[in-house]
Amino acid sequence: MIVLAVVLGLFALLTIGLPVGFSMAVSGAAGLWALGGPSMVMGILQTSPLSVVSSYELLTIPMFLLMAELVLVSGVADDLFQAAAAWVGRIPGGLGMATALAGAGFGAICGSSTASAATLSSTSLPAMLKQGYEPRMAAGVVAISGTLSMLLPTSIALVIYGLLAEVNIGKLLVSGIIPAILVTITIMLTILLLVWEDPRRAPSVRGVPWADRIRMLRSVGPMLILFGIVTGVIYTGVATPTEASAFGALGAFFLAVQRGKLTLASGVKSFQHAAQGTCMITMILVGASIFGYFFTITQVTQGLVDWVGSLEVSRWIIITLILCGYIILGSFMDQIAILVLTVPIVLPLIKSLGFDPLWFGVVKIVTAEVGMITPPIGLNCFIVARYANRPVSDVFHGIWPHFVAHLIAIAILVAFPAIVLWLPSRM
Amino acid sequence: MTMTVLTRTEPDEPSRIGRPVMMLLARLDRALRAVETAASSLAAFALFAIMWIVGIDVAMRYLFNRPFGWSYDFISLYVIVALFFLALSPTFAANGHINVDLLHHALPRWGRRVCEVLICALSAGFFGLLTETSAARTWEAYQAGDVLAGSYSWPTWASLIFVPLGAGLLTLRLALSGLCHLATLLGGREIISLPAIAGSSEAIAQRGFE
Repeated sequence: MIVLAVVLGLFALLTIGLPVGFSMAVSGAAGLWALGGPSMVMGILQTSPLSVVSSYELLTIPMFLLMAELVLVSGVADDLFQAAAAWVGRIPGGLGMATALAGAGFGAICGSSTASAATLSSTSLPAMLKQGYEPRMAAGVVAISGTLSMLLPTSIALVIYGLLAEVNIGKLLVSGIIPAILVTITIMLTILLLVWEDPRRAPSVRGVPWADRIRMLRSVGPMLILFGIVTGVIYTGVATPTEASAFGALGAFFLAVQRGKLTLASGVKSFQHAAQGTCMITMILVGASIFGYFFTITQVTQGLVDWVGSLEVSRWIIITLILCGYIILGSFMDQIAILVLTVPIVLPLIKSLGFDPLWFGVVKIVTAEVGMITPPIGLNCFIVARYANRPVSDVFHGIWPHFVAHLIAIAILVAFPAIVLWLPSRM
Repeated sequence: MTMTVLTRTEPDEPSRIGRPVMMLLARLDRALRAVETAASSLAAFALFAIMWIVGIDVAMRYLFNRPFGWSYDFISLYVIVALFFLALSPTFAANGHINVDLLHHALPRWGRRVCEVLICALSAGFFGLLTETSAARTWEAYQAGDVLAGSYSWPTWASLIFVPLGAGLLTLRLALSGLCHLATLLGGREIISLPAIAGSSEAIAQRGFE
């Protein structure tokens, strides 16, 4: 009874717009009060917030956020797109493919999907429109390519999942790499299909001389170095993900300085923005921890796991239902909020069904990518619409082929878990 | 960052809240924002410090085999704690804590303001409680001279104190914002603007973090 009241209370708080972390903290504290009186709440308030914050692993989040901010300041994304366009521009839909490649390259050093979509919007979108690409298609490619940041090793979303699920964060980050390549190929094939259906959507581009192509490759260097000092050291086990993230932030800092883009004003703004992002995410983790105490004491999760275990249904049907639920939730809720609200409940279930938590994390993040582009609140589409100065409905219209393609990619990842699990198994 | 504006939202509507009260609220808001700016700058500096300390520590370990013995404890006990708790209130004031604003799309402005008053009141209750319990604990630790055992004797109170500082500042912010929204509802001028709704250009300018 108390559980039902508290869960309904949580939804009521979320609905009136109370920040997610605050909602979980308030409703969790109220539930603990109802269960064990004020002394229980006081006891947990004395220890829980500080013990969540005072964790070395948590540092990965501020460092990746900072890295994303500084990479953004450095302006390295412009060069990445130019280089990709020079190499693949001549293929049908080439600039769209270059966008996907630049999204993957940028995603490898910038873990924020919205930052990535904003950057691609200001670089590759104008280039495609200038070339006479169908605006809907161009906007759709940019919105979807931005989401690749969530799957590659500097992904903030993956780190949050890792902290919640208590899995090895290094392995988790590495396990996203092959799926990210798969998703990149999916995006490129979707573009090819769209252009094959109607070649007028993507007029071809003039070729770039080989000398220029090779010269442009130099701009990929900084990106490869940053990728190496983060992903390389994690994969080889030279440093922990926390250390690697600090190295990544420092590397991005030097990159921004070396390119002459870091001013005092832009630097202070980057650090403040990253500090606020850290605070927002940590507050959600603090709220989740207080709510988690309540849930643990009431044994709701165990009850749910037992109940599902007693059902005479194939585990594949259950996982399909869970993933469909995620896609629906993702269309109207923030991805970090979804992770924090659902992972503590869904993960024990996933484990009891015999699925690997690493694999589930990656598949969950691919559904989150879909959430970033589905109406009504697909954040990346709003960002692209603003930069392109077009109605957001246009972008949503351009995104649906990618939506379908992503569902196929999710089905492949579900059917062949080795795509996710092979690379981390070699660490 | 939400800005402090002292303009009338409905110019024709006569103000039912006394002018001195509105002036006082606006002045308090400005004062609190100044404190929040300072706290936010300190949090940003903490982030800057973490980046360098961890970076140099790792380099010292792998290149010279001489890591800092103190960096792990120093960062996890003090710096990241300061970063989080000092940023709490500035992040709230800048509408940086994410929420679900589906209902707000459908509500009129006064309805959204009623929600804001509720949000501030409920959160102020929680963070007030947190401030009280954590202040008591900090004081206990200070009087007992608690230290964290290890190669260095780290005083515990110096870590604990950031909880009542940050939560206390946020409680003040919540109480003041709640009063400002309430005053606006009761017919006064707008002191604190409503948070941007997802998809609006103000919200996109703030950019998310996923």
